Amino acid sequence: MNTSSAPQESVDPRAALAAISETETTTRRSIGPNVTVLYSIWAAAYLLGYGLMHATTNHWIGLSYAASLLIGAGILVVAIAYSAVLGIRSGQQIRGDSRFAGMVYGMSWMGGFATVAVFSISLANLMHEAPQATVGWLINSVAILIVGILYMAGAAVFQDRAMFILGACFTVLNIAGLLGGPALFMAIFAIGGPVLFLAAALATRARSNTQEAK
Amino acid sequence: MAELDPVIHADARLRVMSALNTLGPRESIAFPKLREILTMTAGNLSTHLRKLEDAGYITQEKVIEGRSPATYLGITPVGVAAFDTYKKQLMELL
Repeated sequence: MNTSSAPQESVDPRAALAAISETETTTRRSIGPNVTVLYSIWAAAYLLGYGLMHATTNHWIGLSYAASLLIGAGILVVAIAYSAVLGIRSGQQIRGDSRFAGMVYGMSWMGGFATVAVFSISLANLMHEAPQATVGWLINSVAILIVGILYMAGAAVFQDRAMFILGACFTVLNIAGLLGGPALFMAIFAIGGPVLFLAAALATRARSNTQEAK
Repeated sequence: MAELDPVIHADARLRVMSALNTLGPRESIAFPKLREILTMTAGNLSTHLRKLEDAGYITQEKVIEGRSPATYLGITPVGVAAFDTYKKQLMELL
């Protein structure tokens, strides 16, 4: 399909390869959300949310458990809204498989957490005589179950190894938290959640630096 | 060794092909977003897109988004193969 026209603005091989690499990097940055920022936001959300609930459970601060749950839910909503805005913005002006995959993946999170919200209310009504920490423990374990599964499924969709490891680690921590009981669960996720997200952020950053260096 | 593909071997078209190849053959990108990525003027970009389209390397699809017309650009399988060959030839030249 080559045309017979003479090369214009001809470039030497080394400069051509550098231009290809630079454009690939700029394009990748423009069409996908900044995952490092996204994971860092979630690291902060887990630290604040689960840290607050752990502090309340241990009576380190003068806040009721219900109030800490409410603040935790507020932090969750802010983090979800921020993630959604980042995802939607990056997918704008792009058509094709990735847009559909991103939209369906986003809807899966919404569906999962809408179910968790309804489950929370139902469980709280059913176990109204149980300690609040126990109810909160079970609700959060279901939320983390959704998180773990969606990260692992997302890894299959987006071919992202770091995402799969993140999901698998969340699943392992969830099992540990369920075996450990309510108090340990909050401590595990106040520390383990941010550590996992920051590790994923660093891994993603390192991978993108490696791609840029190639 | 075969001559480097003159359609691709020009700075502006090389960058267009790199951007569209990064997206892949099953994706397309709106003209303004591609222009933003490549920091090229609309006129200059249009000229090079036409040359790549004439060679069968890219497609330009006109759609209506909301009430406004929009142009989406994507790489064709022929374009992917040509770009792949071009990159291999570059590597051999080093």
